[in-house]
Amino acid sequence: MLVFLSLLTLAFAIAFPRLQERAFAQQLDGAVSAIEALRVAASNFEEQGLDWPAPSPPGVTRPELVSTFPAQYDLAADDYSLEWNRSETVDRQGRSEPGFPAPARSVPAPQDSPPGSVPSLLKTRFRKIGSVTVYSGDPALLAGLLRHYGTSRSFVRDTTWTLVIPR
Amino acid sequence: MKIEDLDEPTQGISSPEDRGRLLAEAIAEAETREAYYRQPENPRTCHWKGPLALSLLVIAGYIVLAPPPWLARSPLPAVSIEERRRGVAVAIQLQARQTEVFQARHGRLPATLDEVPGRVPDIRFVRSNGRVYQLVAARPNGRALVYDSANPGPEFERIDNAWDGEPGS
Repeated sequence: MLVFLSLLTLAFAIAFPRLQERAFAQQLDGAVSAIEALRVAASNFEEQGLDWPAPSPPGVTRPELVSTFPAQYDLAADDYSLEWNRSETVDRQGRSEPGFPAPARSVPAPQDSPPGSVPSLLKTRFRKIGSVTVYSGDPALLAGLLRHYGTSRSFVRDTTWTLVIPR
Repeated sequence: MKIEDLDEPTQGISSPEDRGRLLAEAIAEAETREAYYRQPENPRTCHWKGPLALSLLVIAGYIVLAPPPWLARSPLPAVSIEERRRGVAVAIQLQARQTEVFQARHGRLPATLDEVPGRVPDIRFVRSNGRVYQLVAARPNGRALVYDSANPGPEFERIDNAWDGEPGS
């Protein structure tokens, strides 16, 4: 009996790292699947000629996404929660010097010269962007998401990871 | 008391000889059964089980505490300091873009970031004048990272964002 228990302990000790690896891979896959489901649902909503869905608090599915968001996914899991957000950005054309991007100056401030005397130097274009933010206290999950999506589309800050989705 | 002292057996009751014989048979039967079911005492069995179990436990403990490379799990991914630093800069840049959107739409800077529709948490907004502002956030080491709208600095210029390209890119 003692030998059997010892063998069992040894087998568990050998298998434990693999079990941990598998558990983390499943956790990461689950998070990626939920993110993709949310991204696709929001993109479908936006492609219908509508705007990006309105922002939603972490773990809450927007009513407009309920019909397109697969039911098997949940925005609030045990160790993370997802948040949808949208914001606007400015395409600044005609930067004069590298390293010194001009702020949006298409609309003169009140203390500037009268409108009309200064031509608008920059053509300002607004673009709406969507974003998915994952809140998690597990830094490995945040790092895994950063590796999966890359640093040009996503970033980590504190206990959040954010994926930016350009329109 | 001797067996001779016992009463004479009545008719149909066994004699002392019969009882003695039956008792001897019962004892012999019991000894046979005991011999049949008794485990053989092999002192060597007890000697190897204990050390083997102990060795297995020691090996298991060694694997748990200091696993050899071929058994160790691959290390979990971690966010580097550089990636965290970049994350702070990107968050500030996102907030700056939304502040610029507000500025372009309303012709003025917001009084506070609460006026800006998309607010990135934990970023402080400081107005220098009617056109210039600073955004301040904490770096991973606790020091402040400052974005000056008039001169953002190289830390923000180096950021290559997928959302900075042409529409649809």
